[in-house]
Amino acid sequence: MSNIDRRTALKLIAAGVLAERLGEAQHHLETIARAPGAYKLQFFTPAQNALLDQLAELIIPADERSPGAREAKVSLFIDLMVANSRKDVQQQWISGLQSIESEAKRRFRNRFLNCNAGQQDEILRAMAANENRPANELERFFAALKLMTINGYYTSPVGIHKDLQYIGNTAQVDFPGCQAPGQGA
Amino acid sequence: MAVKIYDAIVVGSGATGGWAAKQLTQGGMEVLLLEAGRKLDPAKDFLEHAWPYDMPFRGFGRPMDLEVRQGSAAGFSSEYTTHLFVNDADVPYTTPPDKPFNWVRSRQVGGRSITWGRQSYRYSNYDFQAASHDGYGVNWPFRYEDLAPYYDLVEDFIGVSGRAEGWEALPDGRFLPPMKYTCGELELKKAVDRYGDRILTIGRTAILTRNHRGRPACHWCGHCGRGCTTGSYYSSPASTIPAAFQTGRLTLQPDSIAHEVLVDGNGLARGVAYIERLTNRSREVYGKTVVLCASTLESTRLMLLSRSRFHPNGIGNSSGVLGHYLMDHTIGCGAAGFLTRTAGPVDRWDDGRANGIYVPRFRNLKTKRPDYIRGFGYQGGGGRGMFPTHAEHTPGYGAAFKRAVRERWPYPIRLFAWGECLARYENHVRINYEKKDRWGIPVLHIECAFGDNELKMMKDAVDTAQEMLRAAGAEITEVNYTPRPPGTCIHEIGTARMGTDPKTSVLNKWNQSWDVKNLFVTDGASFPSSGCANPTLTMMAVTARACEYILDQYKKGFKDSPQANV
Repeated sequence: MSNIDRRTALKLIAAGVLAERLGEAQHHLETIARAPGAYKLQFFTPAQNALLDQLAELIIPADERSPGAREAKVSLFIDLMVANSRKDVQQQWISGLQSIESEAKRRFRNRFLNCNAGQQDEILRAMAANENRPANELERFFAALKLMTINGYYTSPVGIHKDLQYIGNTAQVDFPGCQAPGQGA
Repeated sequence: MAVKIYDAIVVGSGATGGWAAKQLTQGGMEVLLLEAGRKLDPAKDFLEHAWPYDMPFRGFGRPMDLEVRQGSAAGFSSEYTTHLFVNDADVPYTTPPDKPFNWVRSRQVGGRSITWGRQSYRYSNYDFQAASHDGYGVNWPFRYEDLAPYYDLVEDFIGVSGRAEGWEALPDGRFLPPMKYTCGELELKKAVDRYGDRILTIGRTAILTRNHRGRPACHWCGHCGRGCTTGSYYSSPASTIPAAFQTGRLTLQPDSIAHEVLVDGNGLARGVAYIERLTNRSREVYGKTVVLCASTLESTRLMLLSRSRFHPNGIGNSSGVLGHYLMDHTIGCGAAGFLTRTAGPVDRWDDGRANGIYVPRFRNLKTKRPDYIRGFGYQGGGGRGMFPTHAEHTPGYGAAFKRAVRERWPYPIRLFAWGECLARYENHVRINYEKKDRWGIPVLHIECAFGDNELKMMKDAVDTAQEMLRAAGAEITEVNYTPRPPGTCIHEIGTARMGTDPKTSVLNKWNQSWDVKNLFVTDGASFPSSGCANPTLTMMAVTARACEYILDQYKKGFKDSPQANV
């Protein structure tokens, strides 16, 4: 709890969580959801963050129903989680992003973000081709990227309230259970 | 200065301590309820309505920490509840390197009744008389019929929701209205019912499905495990402790870490020595009776630490079995998947109900298996919760993927086994005098491992779980045959067992120490066998029964009362 500032400590205590229990996460109570502008990258470079931001948006894009991973700031969530992971996991992320850049260079002689939409989609399709049985680094990285995007999106206000429009975590009068037996299987 | 001598000192304010405090004060005794931890403030400590995006790691926990989860962090604590469990660095314990044990503890007023799973099932004579049934171990020193009135008393007071099923191995209780099944659970129930030799019922849970004795019914937020500001499930601060306070005879003293039961010139208990949690000062309190409800291993630790010339091996340990016959239910074995056939969009989620289904023990009742004795129950079921757990298994990416996650949401379904653990002498705890905790109190050394019976039982349980899930039409995505390390279930019991023979047990049938007639242990330490059902309800009933005996002794005037040595 070495460099927690008093304001953050008070916020932590107000949120009901004893400050000493949170270890290194003290800076992130100004969460990505509430004040994304205040979040400072802890692990990825701005260029890597921009790449992750686009990859996440390609996986869960904005549609007519709801914003996508970009507006949900999923890349900042990925940065937070990877920054707090073991060194070998961190290395897998760095090397995964490098392998995407290598693929973009190999196919289109360009950086990924400079490829057009069709080209980016071609790369992603190649990564996702063996989703059930990933066989190389790029395919394995796709699985990690997709899972992290899912985790970041569906725990964000955008994912929960705008896309899923979840009704719950609130006071309800009853638990009515199954309303249409036979619909569950 | 007159030193107060309480009629009873109850050590520990959790599920059983709250009951001892209530029963004894209501019976006329002046009670001191001594608690190691702090008093909680629901407004600050209970995060039941927090959103994932309010939490530093969205509720997933810090990745690096997840990988080294052991001790209290390996239980069910999460980002929302870390502060409701001890910091293991303050209160370490040791184990042999090849026998990991996750000792999951809370130190606060209410103990683990703040975050417990609330599942509340009665044991049957298959449990109380297990040794007569299959020849292994020892029977309890009483039968189900002796405990039934106390199960009634406890359920009546705390409120338990459930449905009567008439299943011999799972005696029915006095229930508030049962909770309802999800659509997925109804499919599973149809498949289970077809077997004919087993049943599936809605979980019996200490959550109020209607207002009860001044406590409001549950408001279905689904987050009981984080603490409840409306007190709608049983915790001692929501239920039994207020009742004790109403008598005017309860003194609650938190921040007091008991480390020794003090004895008088006759070897009788005369009080408790403790250390103030915040100041580290040593203090003593005195009472005519001492009731240990500190949780299984803390109660036993306290007894082992209480050595004197009368009790060289720890108070109450003339038999030498104090510390032995440690058990925990197996946890983590089972199967899970999705009922995918008509997955659809969700307009109402199921996660407001913090309960699931239960399949009570159906093995080794009327027939005997060749591979193992005793049995297991399944908890599980499932419904659609806030987080789309099926998204990871939904192929593709992009707009079509996003739409599929939203519109083809299957019912998650799971069956996980809670299995009986045999009582083995070699599974034991002792004091490790080489290591001290933050308050200078010697720690426990815990040696406990599951044996062949547990592993063979889990093989059957997991094979059968898969079979039943498939019969319900599930696509299985997760299977696990290996139990988590003992302790992880947080049903640690035994080590100060009741019995009929003072040479092989620590307590008699009234939870009274054979050696020290004014010392009682009513928590899980007293259990001679584990059964397979969640044990807390039984601990509370055992406590209520023991308290009736204590009150009977109190009314007879505490003959040979100890003298406080002041």
